[in-house]
Amino acid sequence: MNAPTRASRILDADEALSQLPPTPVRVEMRLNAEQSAVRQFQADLTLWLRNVGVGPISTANATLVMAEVLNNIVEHAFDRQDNGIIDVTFSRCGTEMVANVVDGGRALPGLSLPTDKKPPVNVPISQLPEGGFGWPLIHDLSDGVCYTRASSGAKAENRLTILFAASD
Amino acid sequence: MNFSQSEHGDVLIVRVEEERIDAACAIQFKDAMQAVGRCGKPRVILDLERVDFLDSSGLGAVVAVMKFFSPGITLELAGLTPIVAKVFRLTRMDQVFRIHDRADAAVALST
Repeated sequence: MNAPTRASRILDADEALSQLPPTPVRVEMRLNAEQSAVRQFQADLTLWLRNVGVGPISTANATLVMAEVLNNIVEHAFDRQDNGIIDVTFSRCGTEMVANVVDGGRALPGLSLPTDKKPPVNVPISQLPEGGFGWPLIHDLSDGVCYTRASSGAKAENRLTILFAASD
Repeated sequence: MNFSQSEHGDVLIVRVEEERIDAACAIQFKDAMQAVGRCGKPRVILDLERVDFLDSSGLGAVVAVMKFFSPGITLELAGLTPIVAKVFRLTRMDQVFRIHDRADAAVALST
């Protein structure tokens, strides 16, 4: 009689555990809508991503995107007013990461995501753009972004969902 | 915003002694570079070797400085670390600036 094939062999516990899908991990963070808090958030996120085993390139991409997203909220949703609050939930599941960002500030203009079109650089020095780089960077370095404006009664909030690859 | 500066003939190397040029310090960076603009050298190399992080605000600040210096002073960059290089590449600003691996090697090159 032939020996059992691998597929029919009973796995021992270590092997079985290594073949399970990776467990999702998640962190929730709340920050004031100001630039110093955004810097601190980035440091905290970098540490968390390292702790859950995300590699340096994916960490750098996610951190940069989150900096751009959060700075946009500070500058435009709250117009640098005091007391704005931003809630971020960041999850990792295997090779995917998801950020959910919620804030109670002003809606995105036209209730839609800004363009991924890059400002032109092939222009004379005096006409070089000094802004408009943020959203194209967000689009370039993420796997997708969704925006919802949610309102119930007097309360309205912006909800952004950003998908990332954790490819290294 | 801390810089250290060194002169080499017609060239001024300005080394940024900070780890980040970002939304929180973009204005201070621009203000500090305005003062550098009075140095009288026609060529300034911005050494970014210590800078680990630059976001779109930081990029905008560097571009603003290049515009402010022009045409009397050319602004070149050196020592771009990975995230900084990525931001310049994705925005295509790496086509606008002359970028060197190292500031000291850049001095010897002609304009």
